[in-house]
Amino acid sequence: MPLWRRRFFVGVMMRCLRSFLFVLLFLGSWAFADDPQDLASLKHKALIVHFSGTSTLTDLEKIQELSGSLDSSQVLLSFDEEFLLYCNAIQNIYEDERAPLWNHVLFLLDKRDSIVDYRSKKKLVGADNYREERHFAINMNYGALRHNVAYLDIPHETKEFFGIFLERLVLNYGGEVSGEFHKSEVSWNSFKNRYPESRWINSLPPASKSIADKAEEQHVKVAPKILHFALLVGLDRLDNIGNFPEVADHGTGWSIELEIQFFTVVMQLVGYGGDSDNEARFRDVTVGYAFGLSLFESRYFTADALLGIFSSTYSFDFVDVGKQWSPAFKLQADLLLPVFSFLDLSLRVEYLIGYSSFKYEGKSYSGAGQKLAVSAGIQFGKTLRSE
Amino acid sequence: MKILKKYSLLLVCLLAMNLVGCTTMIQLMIDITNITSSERYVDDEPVAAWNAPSWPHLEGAVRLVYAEPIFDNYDYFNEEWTGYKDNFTGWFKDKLKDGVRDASVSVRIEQVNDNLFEIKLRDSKLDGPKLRYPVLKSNVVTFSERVVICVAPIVAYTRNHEVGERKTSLYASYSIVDRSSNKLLAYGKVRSFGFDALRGFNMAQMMFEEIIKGTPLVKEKL
Repeated sequence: MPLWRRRFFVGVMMRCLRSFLFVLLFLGSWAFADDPQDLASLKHKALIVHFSGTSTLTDLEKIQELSGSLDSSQVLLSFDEEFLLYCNAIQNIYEDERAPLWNHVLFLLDKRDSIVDYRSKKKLVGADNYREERHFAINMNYGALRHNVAYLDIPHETKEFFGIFLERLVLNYGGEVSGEFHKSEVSWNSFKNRYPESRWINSLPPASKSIADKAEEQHVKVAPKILHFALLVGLDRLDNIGNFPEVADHGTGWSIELEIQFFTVVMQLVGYGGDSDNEARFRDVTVGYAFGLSLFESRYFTADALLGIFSSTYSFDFVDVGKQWSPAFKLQADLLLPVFSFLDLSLRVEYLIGYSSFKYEGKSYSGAGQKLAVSAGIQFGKTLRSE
Repeated sequence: MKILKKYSLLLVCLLAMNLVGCTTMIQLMIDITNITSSERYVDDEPVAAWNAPSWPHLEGAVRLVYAEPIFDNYDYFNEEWTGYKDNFTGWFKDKLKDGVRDASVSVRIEQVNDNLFEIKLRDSKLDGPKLRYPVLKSNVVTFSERVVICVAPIVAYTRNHEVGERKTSLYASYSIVDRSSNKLLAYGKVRSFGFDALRGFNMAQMMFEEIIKGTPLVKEKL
């Protein structure tokens, strides 16, 4: 190739690469940016994504600021959300910082009926979404909270009711096994027998597994990602179908994949390879680009179908017998093991089939090359899921 | 057979995808990731104790005052102790009475209202563990005994496990004070076990044994 053509080619390639990076940057900044208009998403982010043990009090202030931006017909938190949020915050901070939070929890318990009544007339931000409550319920150390409330200078009846009330909320939002419902019901009946005149006698929400089921359904079915990147390495096997010589298969080889997914569009840069251990010393090195769509996505499982062009280089005894670009079809399934909200460990099984041909010892061979690969790696990116 | 061998990769692939995608596997993963805290019922304060190096000579009786226990599983309790239906407090008092008989001196027990106790944090002059412990508020003491054991709060719980096993635990904070010199003799936090009717020991008795461990209140064995 003449030098000027080579330079032109490299120049075009570099421009393409820069454009690709620019588009990637644009998509990334757009996907990761907050939408200031979407209060439900800001609420979710404030309650779950940003909420941490190290800065609980600061985060609570942010939530209060957020509630200041609502109009008079809206309310940011339901009673249950606020109660679970503050209980969760108590267990995340040190003993000597807990007093103001305990005061707020006891205030909520004291004014429960009027708060519920007032908020029921307002429009709740993110109503019909139980992911926040579920998150708090699952992470609630209610045994320790029940113990800690016993040290407060409040009536014994309040301490007992707090324990029963918190346990009921945790159960209703999916924080415990269903068998505990019966225990909760008996404890509540016992409380009513011992405190027949209690002011809270009508204040306990009924035991119901339906909300817990709905919360779990929302949690699992929520769209998993806006944008993600994945890097996986693993093992593959090649099996050629057609009139290929038997020596043109290799045993366990390697695979590496770099993947970008934007909503349901998947783009991949992949490589496979392997050596046979027979006397022909067959070697396969395949690299390719693939584009496709995600067929199914949930929190723990995804399945994608892709079409691509692959360059396979085959050699026997270190002599190349053919290099060609050919189309291929690929199916892949991922099992995701969440580590953080933005990071998953990924276990992948994939099947690829494509056209393949070469000349060996004066004879032409062609047919379908199929690969099965198992790989593991990480996926990280912008998430839409609850924790 | 040859065809089977030819398409073995495809079959293995389909089988693997089916396994990965089946509901059981997904549910299993959900359950694994949902186990966020296996220590759900463990309190965040350690169980520890401090005893004064020297004690006054114990004469006459000792008073034990305690707050009403907080208990969370009347389902199990009513099934196990049918004679005490919904009366965990009464059961606790009876079992504690049995337990204090083994002390070196006579112990008079009394359940008092929660608001008679004041919760203090460890005196920084002492070399004991950093724990909260109860003392009686100064204006409420009406009894004559010189040494007073305060136990508050007492939190007992029983957890039902899916396999049918039920584990019972009790946590209690305590202090022992010499009222004549207003000197702290001991303080700490104890944990005890045992709830079912068939076994010979119970959490109330064990709680008392743990509180007096290492003090002159333990009866010397011959």
